[in-house]
Amino acid sequence: MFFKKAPPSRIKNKNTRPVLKRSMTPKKKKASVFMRLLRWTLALIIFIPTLSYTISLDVEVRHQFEGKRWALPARVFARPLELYPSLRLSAKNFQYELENLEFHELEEKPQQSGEFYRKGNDFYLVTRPFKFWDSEEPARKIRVRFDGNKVENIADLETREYLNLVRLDPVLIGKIYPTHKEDRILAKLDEVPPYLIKALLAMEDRYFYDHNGISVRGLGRAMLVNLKNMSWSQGGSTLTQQLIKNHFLTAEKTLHRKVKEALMALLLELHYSKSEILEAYLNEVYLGQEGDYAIHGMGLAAQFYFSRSLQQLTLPQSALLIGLVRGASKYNPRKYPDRAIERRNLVLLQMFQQNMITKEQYDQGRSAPLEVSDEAPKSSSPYPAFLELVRRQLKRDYKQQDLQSEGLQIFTTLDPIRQHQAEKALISQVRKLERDHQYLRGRLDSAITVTAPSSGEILALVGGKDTDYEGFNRALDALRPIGSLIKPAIYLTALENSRKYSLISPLNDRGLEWKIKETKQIWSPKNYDGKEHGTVPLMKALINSYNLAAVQLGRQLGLEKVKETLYRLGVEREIGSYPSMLLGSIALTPMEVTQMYQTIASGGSRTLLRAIREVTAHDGKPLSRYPLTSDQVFDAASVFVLSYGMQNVVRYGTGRAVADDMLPDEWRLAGKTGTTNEYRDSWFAGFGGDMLAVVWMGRDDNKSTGLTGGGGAMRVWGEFMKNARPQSLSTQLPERTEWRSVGARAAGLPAKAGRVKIPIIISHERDSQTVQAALAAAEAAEEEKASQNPSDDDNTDKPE
Amino acid sequence: MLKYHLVIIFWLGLSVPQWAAADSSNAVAALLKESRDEFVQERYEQAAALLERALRIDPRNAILWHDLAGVRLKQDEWRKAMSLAAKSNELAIDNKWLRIRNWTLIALACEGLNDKNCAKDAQGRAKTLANSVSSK
Repeated sequence: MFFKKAPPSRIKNKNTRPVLKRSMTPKKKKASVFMRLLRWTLALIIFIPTLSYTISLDVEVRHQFEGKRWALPARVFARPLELYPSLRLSAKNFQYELENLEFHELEEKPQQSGEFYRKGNDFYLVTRPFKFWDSEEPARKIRVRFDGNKVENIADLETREYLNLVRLDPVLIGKIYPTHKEDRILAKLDEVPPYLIKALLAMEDRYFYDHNGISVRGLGRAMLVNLKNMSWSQGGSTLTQQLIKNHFLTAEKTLHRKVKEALMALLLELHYSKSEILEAYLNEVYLGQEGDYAIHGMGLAAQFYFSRSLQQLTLPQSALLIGLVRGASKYNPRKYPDRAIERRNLVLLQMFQQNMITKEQYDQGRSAPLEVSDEAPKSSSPYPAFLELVRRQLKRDYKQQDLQSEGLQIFTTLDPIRQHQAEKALISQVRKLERDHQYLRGRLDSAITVTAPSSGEILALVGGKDTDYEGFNRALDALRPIGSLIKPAIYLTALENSRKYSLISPLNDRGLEWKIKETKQIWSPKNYDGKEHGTVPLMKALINSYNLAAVQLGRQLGLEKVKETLYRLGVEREIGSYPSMLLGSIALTPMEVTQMYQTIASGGSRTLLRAIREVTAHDGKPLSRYPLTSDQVFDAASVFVLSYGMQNVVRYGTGRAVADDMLPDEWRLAGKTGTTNEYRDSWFAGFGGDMLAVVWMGRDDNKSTGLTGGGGAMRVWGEFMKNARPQSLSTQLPERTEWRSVGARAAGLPAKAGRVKIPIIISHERDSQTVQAALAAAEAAEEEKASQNPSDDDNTDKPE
Repeated sequence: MLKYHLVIIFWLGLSVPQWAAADSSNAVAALLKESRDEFVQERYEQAAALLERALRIDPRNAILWHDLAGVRLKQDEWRKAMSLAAKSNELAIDNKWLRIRNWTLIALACEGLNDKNCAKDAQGRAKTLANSVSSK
C-alpha cells in the first residue's frame, strides 16, 4: 500500500559456454575433470542454499513491505464543538474544551494552531485544520467573545469579519488498540519537517543517500568515533538496516542475524526508493512508552511529547525526537530532562557541524527550553463507560480486526463538557448521601445517561462512581425494576384517548384486589403513604405518584394496551402480562429507560439512541454514517399534555424538594421519580428542551438504600441540570391543543398555585363545550371537597 | 412522479434566500445554504449531514426537518421521508405553507410505496390547507 514496486532490475543472461583452448594429456585430463566436478559440486553446495535463502528473504521483504500496513488503532473522537453567536456556553466551559483539546495557553496572542490566549471574556486562538466527514475546516485565527453564559461573537482576525460558524477539531477520547498494543499516527514524508529528516541523517546515517543498504564508510566512521570517545555511542548500521531490524527481526545479537539484516537491507534497497524507506523508518521507529502502550513513529511522538502535529515541530523539538532514537527510555525528557537536553544539543551540534543549520540556529536551539507537555496523553480513555458503548455499537457493523488495525476514525456524540458535569454531579451527590447515611458508606453506586431529545445523540454516560474504571457498566448493564418510571406510559395510554381523558379526569385512588388468573393469587397494591386519596384529578395522581390510581387506571385501560404503549415508546425487552407491571416490576437498564423517555422528551417521535455519527478511513474518506431518524409514534398533542403533567412532578409533586433546593423557579423541566420495593432502586428521568437525563441509584448487592427516587437519584439529576443549564420546555402548543384556565385544586395542584392554565386537546368543535363542562364540574367538586375539609391541602403528602 | 420531484427540487434549490432570512440564526442559515448546494450537486448524504448539524443548533426548526425529508425522498427512502415530514409538520404550527409542502412530500412518499390511499389522503390534506390559505 505504501510502497510501490521499483522496476525489476535487469538481469543479463549471456549464454556463454566455456571454450577449451589447449589440448591436454589423458591423465591431466582425468584430474582436471575431477577438479572441475569438485569445483562445481562445491559451488552448487554453497550457491544453491545461498540462492534459495536469498530468494526466500527477498520474498519475505517484498511481501511484508507491500502487503504490510502498520496496525493503526481506531481513533475515537468526541463531538466537535460548533461555535456560533448566541451559543449557550460559558467562558469557563470553553476553556475546559480547549484544555481537553490540549491547546497551549499563552501570555500573548497566538500565532500557531493549537494555541490560545485568554483576556477576560475574550479568547484569542488559532484553530487546527481538520478533515470532517462533510467538509474540511481550515486553520483560523479567531477571537471568541463571551457575554455571560453565551457566545457574543466570533471574529476572524485575518479577514476582520464576523463569522457565523466555526467548528473546532474534536477531542480524541480513546483508541481501540491492536492486541500487541502498538500505537502510531501515520506520517507522510512530505508532512515531515525538513529539520527532522536532516537531524535524523546527521545522527544516524549521513551516507543514507549514497549507500545501497549497508555502508562500510558509515561503519568505519562510527567505529572511529566510538574509539575516540571510548564509548558505544554510534552503531554504524544504516537506516535501512535499522528499519529491517525493527520491522522484521528479533533483538538477538547473533552473527546470523547480522548477516540476515545486511542481506535484507540490500534487497530492500533493490526494490524500494530512498524516500519510501525513509518514510517507513519514520513511521516505525520506537520512541517511548506509556504504560503498556508503545509509542511508534514520529507522528505520534510529536503528539505524545509536545501535543502538536508533526508539521508544527520546531528545530529543537525535532532534534529532541531524533535524540530519542538511540534510547527512548534513557533520554525520556519527562523523566530525565537534563539528559534529554544534553542529547538534543548533541543532535544540534552534529547538524551544525555538518552545515545543516547556521550558527544562529544552533545557538537559539541550544538555549531553547524543552517545551515537553507536562503529562503524557493517557493511553487509556478517560471515558471508559462511553467507549464501551461505542465498541458495542461498532461491533455490529465492523470486524474486530478492522477496528484494531485499519486506523478508522470514529466520530461519536460524546460532549466532554456534559460528560464532565454528569460525572461531577454523580460523584458529589453519591458522596454526600454516603456521608449523610452511615449504612450506605462505600456501598452506594449510580449511573447516568444524558441525551439530546431531538436527535437521540448520547451526550454523556457514566457507568458508576469510579468513572476512570472500566468495570461494571451500570448505565448499560444494570437491569433493575423501574418502579414508578412506568407510570407516564399508563397516563399516556389514557391521554391518547383525548375524548375520554385529560389532566383533570377524575381517577379512583382506592384500594383494590386483583385476582391473578394463572396463579389464583390476589394482588392488593398500596400507596406509598398507606392512604387512599379517593377521587383525584389525573394530574394529581401523576405528580404525587399515587399507586392505586395508576393501577385502577391501568386495569381500566387493559394491561395489553399499556404494554403496547411501552413497546411504542421504545422498550424492546419482553414484558410479561401481570398486574404488578403497572407499578414497574419490569426490569430495564438505565439505557433502555433512556430510550423510553427519549420518545416522551422528543414530543412523541421515536429516535434511535446513537453514540456514533460517522466513521471514516484513516485518511478521512467517508465509510459510514449513522443518520438521524425520526418516527412519530405518538400524537404530539398527547405527549405535550403528558409532559405538562410531568413538569408539575418537578414543581409541585414528588420532585419538588430537589427542585426547590437546586433549580431556579423559572426553568420548565419535566420528569418522573421511581422507587422500587424496599428502596432497592432510586430512579429519576427528566428533561428540558435540549437534554434528557436518566439517573439510577442503588447498590450492586441489590439491598435497600433507604432512598426514594426524589431523595436519591433526583439529587444527581438536579445537580447535573443546575450546571448544564438546559433549555426550558417549549410552551408552543401542538395542533388541536388549547390552554384552558382552571383552579389549581381542580387541576390537581396545591391551592397556592392559584388559577393555572392547562393544555387540553380539542379535536372537534363539540369537544370544546364538553371540555368546558368538565372543567366546571372538576372545579365544583373540588370546592365541595374543600368546604367539607378546609385543612386538607392535598399536596402536602410526603413525596412518593 | 417526475413532475413532483422537480417541484421538490425547485423548493429546495431556489427558495433559499426567503427562508434563510426568516431564520434568526446565521449559523443555521449558512448550513442550510451549504446543504442545498450539496443537494443540487447530488451529494445527498453530505446534504443530510449538514442539515443534521443545523438541527443540532436549532432542533425545533421545521424547515430543516422538511429539507431532511426532501433529501430522503430523493434517495427513495420513502418511510424515512414520511416520518421526517411528519416531524416537520408537528413543529410548523404557524407555517401553513410549509405544512402544505410537507403533505405534498408525504403524498410523494406514499406513491413511492405504492400506497394509493395514503397518497390520496395526504394530497387531500395538502389541498384543504391550500384552500384555507387562499380563502383568507
